[in-house]
Amino acid sequence: MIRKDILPNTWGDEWKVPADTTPQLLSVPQGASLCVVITDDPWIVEMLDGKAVCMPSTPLLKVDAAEDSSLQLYRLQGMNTPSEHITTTQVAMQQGAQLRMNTITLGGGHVRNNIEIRMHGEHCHVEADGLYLIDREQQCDNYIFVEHAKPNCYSRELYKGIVDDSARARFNGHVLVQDGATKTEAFQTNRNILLTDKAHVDTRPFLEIYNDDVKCSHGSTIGQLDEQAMFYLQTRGISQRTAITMLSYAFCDEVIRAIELAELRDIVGDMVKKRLHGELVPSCDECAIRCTTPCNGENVSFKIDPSKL
Amino acid sequence: MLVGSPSGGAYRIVAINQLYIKMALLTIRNLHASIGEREILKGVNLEVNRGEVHAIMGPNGNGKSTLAGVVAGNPKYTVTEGEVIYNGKNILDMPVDQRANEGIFLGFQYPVEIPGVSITNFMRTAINEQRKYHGLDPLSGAEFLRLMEEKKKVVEMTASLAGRSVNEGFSGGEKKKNEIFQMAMLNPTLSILDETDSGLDIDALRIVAGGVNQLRSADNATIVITHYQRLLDFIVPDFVHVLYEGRIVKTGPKELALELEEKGYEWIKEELGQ
Repeated sequence: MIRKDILPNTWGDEWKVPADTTPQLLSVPQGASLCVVITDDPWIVEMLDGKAVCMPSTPLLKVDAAEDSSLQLYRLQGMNTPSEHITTTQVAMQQGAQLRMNTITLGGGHVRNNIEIRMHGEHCHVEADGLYLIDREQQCDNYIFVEHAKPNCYSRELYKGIVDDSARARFNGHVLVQDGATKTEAFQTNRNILLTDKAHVDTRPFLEIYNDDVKCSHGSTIGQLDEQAMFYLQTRGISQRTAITMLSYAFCDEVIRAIELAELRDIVGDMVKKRLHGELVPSCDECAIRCTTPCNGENVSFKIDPSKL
Repeated sequence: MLVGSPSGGAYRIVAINQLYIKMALLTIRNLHASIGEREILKGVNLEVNRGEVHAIMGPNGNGKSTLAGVVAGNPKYTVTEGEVIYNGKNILDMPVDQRANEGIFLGFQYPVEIPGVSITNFMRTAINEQRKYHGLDPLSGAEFLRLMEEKKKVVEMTASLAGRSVNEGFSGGEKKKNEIFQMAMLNPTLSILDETDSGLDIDALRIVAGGVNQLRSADNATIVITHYQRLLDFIVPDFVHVLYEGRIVKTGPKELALELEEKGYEWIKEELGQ
């Protein structure tokens, strides 16, 4: 069941968080470093024990990043298809704060990742990346808003996705550079690979700039794998199927590599490989997060089929 | 079985009813190929035996790279006529990877950068797919690393390749060395080197050519595509062919390359009555 009240279907709508939602608050003290992983998967929580703070996902997360603080915030989501996963993350950053975000979507029926980052001080540094591998009837929306209010801040968004079957992805990026935010550097990229005629991507990279002293770029692509690279791999005796999987992984690698927490990077890399091979067994339609006995993944049909490229 | 030939090379001999027939490694007959509507190869004939090095020269845009691409199986070219027989098999219907596993190697003029695919993973996958094709077990990690270290020496590669993506951020010289390194790893029977000398300074050229020479044997063959005689000072060919307007119009000994260097291609055009 999709809640229409928080899912605007037209471009440009501001998302609304239902008024009765209790926000989860996260505050990063001045000068502190914090690494947070948001996941509902107990296996991953166990794997990351002692390496990062793990939190279950909540509809609304408000982050207050104090001066010179450093926050890594990773969201890893691999729920089953009947699940609806709609979250909003609001980050307020003070002077010199650093933020690295990675939003990884491998599962979920309807996924909506809302991110709102506001830089209230100078010399803030933001790298907000995302990756989505979706198939069947899945829908994944990434809405990200970044505000540059003060000079000398940097932001980068890199969102990449592979969309199979009749899945739909949407990227709506909005960077707002205020009048006083001189020497702003803001870069926004969204790249997609479509595997079928029915797969659908809407992408809207958008910059709104109110001063001239900035360095900004935005771009998006929707396409297929590089034919030259395919040929190159094949001339070394690598089969077409293996080459496609290698290049699909390589496409995702840029986002995976940006994960600073090594343990998590390995987990995500492994999950993406399995997802591309169709081996990832996160959960069937009955088990929401991870299949357990007696089901043990028997009901799962979860597969990106790269041979369709 | 193999027997020596007068030129020092070796021919593979196939016995059929007591008759010995010399079988060329590669035979190209009346090959026509096009990109889209444009015909580029207009009837190429070429025979290459084991142990031989052939140089293909000719002005730009006359089909040299197309010929290399067609033999390797680049899907961007359509073969409209003719045949390519490699090791007794018509390879035109073979997929690219199968041709490679049968022993054909293409050294690229512009090696492709593949960010996100590490050289180690790339080569290990290639080696193991090749071994699987020939019914061999995959190499263990240690065996593979040993092989890689050994083959790096062929092109005097000293830098660590660990963690580097295929050709990403490589200089022109490094890219070409990497091609010959891959050739050494895969140990092909027929190597086609497409302008391997382009963009190389003299030191890199010496190393790359030295690598090719080390890999030469009586059992394999090399086709070198080049513009310049310079490369042929290092890799000495048995035959020099001139590919002009989609056909091989002249074949001669290595001295032909010197003549082309000195006189250009105009005299060939005159000979052809143009």
